[in-house]
Order: sequence, then structure tokens, then C-alpha cells
Amino acid sequence: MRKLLFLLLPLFCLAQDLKLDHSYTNAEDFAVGDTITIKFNTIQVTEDVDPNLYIFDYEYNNKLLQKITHRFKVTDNSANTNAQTSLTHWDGYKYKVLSTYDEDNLSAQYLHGWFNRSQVQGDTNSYPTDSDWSVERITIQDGVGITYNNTLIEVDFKIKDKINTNYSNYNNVTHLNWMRAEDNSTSTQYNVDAMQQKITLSSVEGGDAGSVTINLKTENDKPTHYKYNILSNNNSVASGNFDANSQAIVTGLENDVKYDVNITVDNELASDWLDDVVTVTDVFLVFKEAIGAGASPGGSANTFTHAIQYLLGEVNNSGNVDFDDSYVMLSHIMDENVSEYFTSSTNGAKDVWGEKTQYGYATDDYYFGQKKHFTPTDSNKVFDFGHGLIGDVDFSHSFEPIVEDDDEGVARTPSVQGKIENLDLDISTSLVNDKVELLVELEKDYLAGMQFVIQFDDTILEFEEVQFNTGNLLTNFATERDNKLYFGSISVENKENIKTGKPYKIIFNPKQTITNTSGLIYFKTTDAVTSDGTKVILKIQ
Amino acid sequence: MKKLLILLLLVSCTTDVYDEQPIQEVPESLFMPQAVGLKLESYIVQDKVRINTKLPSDGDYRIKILDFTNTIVNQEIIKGKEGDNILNIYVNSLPVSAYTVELYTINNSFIGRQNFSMN
Repeated sequence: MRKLLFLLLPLFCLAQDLKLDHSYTNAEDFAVGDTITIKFNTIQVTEDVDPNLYIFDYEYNNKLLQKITHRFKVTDNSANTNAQTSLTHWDGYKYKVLSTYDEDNLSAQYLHGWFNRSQVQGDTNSYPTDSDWSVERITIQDGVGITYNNTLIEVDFKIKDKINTNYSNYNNVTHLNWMRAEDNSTSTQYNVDAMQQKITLSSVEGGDAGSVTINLKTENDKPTHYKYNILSNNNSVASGNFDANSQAIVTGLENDVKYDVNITVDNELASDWLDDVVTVTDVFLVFKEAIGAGASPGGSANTFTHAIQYLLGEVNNSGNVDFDDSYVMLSHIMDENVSEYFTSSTNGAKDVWGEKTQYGYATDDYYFGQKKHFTPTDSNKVFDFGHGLIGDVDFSHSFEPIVEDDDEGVARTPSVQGKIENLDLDISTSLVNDKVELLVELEKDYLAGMQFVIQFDDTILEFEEVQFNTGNLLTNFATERDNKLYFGSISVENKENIKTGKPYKIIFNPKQTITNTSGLIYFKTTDAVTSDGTKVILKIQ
Repeated sequence: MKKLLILLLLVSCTTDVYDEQPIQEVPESLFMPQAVGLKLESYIVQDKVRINTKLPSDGDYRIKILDFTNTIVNQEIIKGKEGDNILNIYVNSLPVSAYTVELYTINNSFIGRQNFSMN
């Protein structure tokens, strides 16, 4: 009998305590353009299981569904009127189910598939990028148990036309990824299974065969800050902003008619990042090109490997890329705007764009390959356009021309994006003698330029100074703008690299008493370049 | 007998010297039954949230905040003491999103992890 109990014990321990369900609330017979509502709720399986904390992730196919809005309903329930709720959204990611656990075992997927995924050997990334999917994280907490069977949240979606996608049906348009259900007062975690894990819309009718899709190609992760304007005979026929998936779905166009398209950055929306476009890597690449250094200093070869870099690096309207251009860009990172011809928050975006396969490859018809028109036909209604920004020679916020064999059959080498290096870096804050210190520690001495942008809580901190210990021949800079601090160094003459050790110490004065410094400073962006012009991604450890 | 009384008197008058550590009161919401780890007072955060970093010994430790892509967006080095350490995470400088908080030794040995969302 005792043996039997021991055998049964693991079965009891693994038993599910509750289920998470989601389903649409509308009648079937859907049509493209319809709005559907999906509700999420839990179902009790085991008695006396009383979680007061729910955190769960689900995802939806953003090529087939467009999210409109959401409403938390948990607080409508009289037992949970004081519940706190939160929803966070990310585009371009899809959960990778940890195959060693059942897909519908949501608590195991939470614990092993997401929370401790970094410990899964050879499979550490729970959310690889996937532009077709969007992820939402829902958090609900209350001082009392969250009741079962009542709707927690409703999410409204519009059904998109599948005609311009790679999908032939509306199967599995949503997916429950994982869930944490816990009694927070005792830290008791409960086992959760999925009830309906994926939603399929079995019969969707209609669809506008005349819709045209414009895909925006850029390295920038803010596609909604880009506007399109489609013109016929110089008259605008459609305009708007690209969606979070870098797409514009345009209706009302006619087949076999040539349309022009303008793609520009909305300067107001982009004001927060326009100053991040030109950084030390761009300065260094333009400087190297100007001195004809090529792969090593002192030579006469070209540094640029794409023709369009000569357009992006020409920032003073002189017609050439030379020292003056590197000076203009260096001035920008040192907070001096000495030219109006490049992208910055002062100047606004300076846009370059063209059809993807032509972009960057000049012909007599297309200056630097900027083919700015398209013609929809019965068989072709999807068009890709690359977009660049003047000043962005390292393509950090721009589309890098696609690599194709040239006339001689030699593959062109991507200039920057194709040969990026990673470097581990230690950046930390601490409370020292009632001041907040941020320290950067560097172990390798091959960097010719390095730049940081940090954002600090200016209701609590006041910037005092940057202490540089970078080397004698380095040009250092530090600029405070609003609650951001831009600082770094560049070896303008490329004669000395940034010293190892602790090249930067930033000091802030707290305006009020603080216990510690966690979260007070946000490490926004970093950028670095080696003495041979290779872009370096700094990975904070 | 007199000698004994004098001795007892001397002993009773001796001041005991304690190496007194301030005892930090741990609110119920941050109580942790485990010997070491990390606990947040709330999983939905505005402005700031109290945390308990329960440490195995006195020394320097790292508190890391990571975004959805597991990129470290903030890291603090604290001087902690053995047991409960009630601290804060301030979130006003962070973009509104969901984050993971991780606790490590100064040499990057993992101790605990929690996650929170901002409102």
C-alpha cells in the first residue's frame, strides 16, 4: 500500500490546479474587416486553490489580426474590484515552446520555458524574433483570490485580408504561451494547463483583392514613426503611418497605374531618437573614408562598401565626402549642430528611400537607386521599399542595400551590419558617499570610439559631472539634454584607442534620500567602433 | 564569602559589549521563507517598488534589470548584509514595459529572479 502511495504521489503533485482558456465571443461566419472579441478566463480544477497573482503571455498573428483595443474585466467582478492590472505589448516575437514539456502545460512553460530558459542548454531564447507575431503579457494581482469563470480581459481584433500574406487560412491565429498562477501571500505556485490553447477562425469570407501592401524596410525598430504618401500625377491618393509590423495596407488603387510613394519620418514622433542616428561609428567611418584609410590606417583604399554610403555620409552639401563631413558629425555628437543637411532632432529627418531591389544601386534613372514608384498589377500587389537617413553610414537606423553579385560576379560585402562584433562590458551604478555613481569598465583596448546614451530619473537625480580616464589623445564629450546624458570618446586621428579599466565615471546628486540606485538610470543605447572601422555591439554583463 | 560577593558585584557591574546590528523589519509582503532569494512587494509597478534581497552573507551583490530581449538596462552594485535587505527599484526612468529583475553575487553567480510590469 505504501509503495502504491509513493507511485501515485508524483501524479498528484503534477496534477493541474486550474486552466487558462481563451475564446472568441462573436458568432461565426467571419468576414475580412470584422471585429472579433477574444476573452480570457480561468477555470478551477482543484478545490481550495486560490491564486491572487496571474501573469500570462499570449501571442497573435499580426498579419491576420490587427489589435484594436483591450478592456480588463476582472475588476467588474465584485470580489476583485480592487485588482491591479497591466498589459504590455511587443511586436515581432514568437514564443518558442520548450519541447521537453507539454505545450499546454502553461505553468511548466512559464517556469522552464521562459523564467529559467537561460538554463536550458542550447535553447536559451524563449522569444526569437518573428515579424508575423505580436506578444502581450497580462498581469493581474489582488489581495484576495481572483475568481474563476469570470472574464479577466477582453481583446478586440480586426480580421485582416490574408491575400497579401504567406498564409492560406486563419488557423491558429492566437496562442497561449505560458502562465504563472500564484498565491502571493504564501509564494505557492499552481499548475496551469491550457484549455483552448489556439484559436482558429474556420471560415473567413471576403477580402479586398485590390488592396496593396507597402512594406517598409529599415533597421529602425520604430516603424510607426514613418509616414507614407502615395501620389498619382502629383495628387495624393492615400497617406498614413506604417503599422507596428512595418506595413501599410492601401486600398483604392488601380491596377496597371504607376504611383509615386514618399516615405518620410514623422519628426514629432521621432524627436526622442533622431539624435541617436549619427553616432561615433558614423563619424569614424566617414573620417576613415575621408583619409582613404581602407581596411587599415595609412592606405588609400575606400572604407565604404556601398555606393549609397557616399550619399548618407555627405552631410554638408558639398558634393563630396571629406574631412568636413566627419567634422560636422563629430560636432553633432558633441552637441553642436553646424550643418542643416543631416538627420538630427534640430534638423529633422533627412530621408532617402527606394524600391528594395534597386535601392542603393544607381542608374541613369535612379539617383543612388532611389526608385520611388510602383505599379500594382493583378499578380503583384506587394512592394518593398528601403529607407535610409542622411548621416547614418553604419545603417543603424537605415536599410542596408541587399547584397547581390555585381557585373563581374563578385559578391559585394555588407559594410557594417555584416561584420559586427560583440564586446562584453560592465556598467553599474552604486550609492557612494550619498552620491550616485555610474561606472563603465572596459577590458579590451581596441576601441577607437565609444558612445553611451543614458536616461535618468530627473525627479530624483541631478547630473553633476563625468570623470574621463580614456587616454591623452582621445576626444571626450558629455552632453546633458533633458533627462538624457550623451557621453563617450573618439580617437579622431586614430592614433590611440580608449584605455582599458574605468574610462568613465558619471556622478549624480540625489535630490532626496534614496536607499539604493536600482532603476534610477536606464542604459538607453550604446555604440562603439574599432580602429579598423568595425562596428561593435556592447553587451552589458 | 566576602570575596565571592565582591566578585559577583564586579561581574554584575561589567557592561556587556555587543556588536549590535540594526534589525531591519521585514514587512509581511516581503517575507521570504527561503534562506536566500529575491521578492518584490508588487508585480505591477508605478514610480517604485520595494524589494527584499535575502543574501547568504555580507558583501557586494548585483541587481540587474533586463528588458524583454534580455538586455540589461540597469545594473546596481549594492553592499548587502546577510539576511533580509529591503531596497527599492525606481522605475520612472524606464520605458513603460515588463522587466525581469535578477540578483547575483558580485562574481555573477545567480541567486534569484522576479519579473514586474509597469503601468
